[in-house]
Amino acid sequence: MFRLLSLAALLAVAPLAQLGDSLPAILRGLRLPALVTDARQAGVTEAAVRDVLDLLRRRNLPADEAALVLREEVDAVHAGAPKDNFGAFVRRQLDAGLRGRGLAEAIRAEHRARGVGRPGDERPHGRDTTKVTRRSP
Amino acid sequence: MNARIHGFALGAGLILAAACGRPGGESASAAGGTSTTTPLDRAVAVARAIQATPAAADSILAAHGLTRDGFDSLMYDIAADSSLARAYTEAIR
Repeated sequence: MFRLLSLAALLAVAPLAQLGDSLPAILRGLRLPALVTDARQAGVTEAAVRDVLDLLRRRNLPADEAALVLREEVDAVHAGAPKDNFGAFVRRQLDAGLRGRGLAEAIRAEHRARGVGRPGDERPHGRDTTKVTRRSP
Repeated sequence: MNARIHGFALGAGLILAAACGRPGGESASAAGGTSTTTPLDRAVAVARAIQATPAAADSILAAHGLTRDGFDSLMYDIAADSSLARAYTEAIR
């Protein structure tokens, strides 16, 4: 009986350990369509948006990593980066093997080096659209 | 005790996910109950349920028949279509 209870407790707790790891990624992933909408509304062309999405998808980046990348690109556009260059640096860095946060940080550093955004700011421009806001009842 | 509380949370998430999966009861046809849920309906239902009960995120995905890969694919599909992405964004805002 005790063994059965222990097994049941293990089965109940095991997914929770995984949940702790996966929840932030799921929450970020949920924001991917919103970030892409933000890019379109900021004036990035449909072709450029689709190119970046196709590229990220072909490289098997999960939605949450794609959201990190898109956030950097969208923030840069809001801060004045040229829209026709959307995704060009992403492609180069993916070719170099970067992914996830490393890729997002490289994009941010690249935009800073080009004078987009203010030096020293972690989140210098644009809205943090990866934050999940709860709907008011 | 913790496991019991977590069990209740997961159960509540599953119930919520099932409830949110059919907004307004429009997802199933009147004749025969065949599911007509669109990818947009599904994505919005998942997002709303997870926003309401983040602790049950994995259970909510499972209740909607989504693996993590399936979830990623759904988000990419919605993002790639400008009208779907806009509708999704407005629905979860």
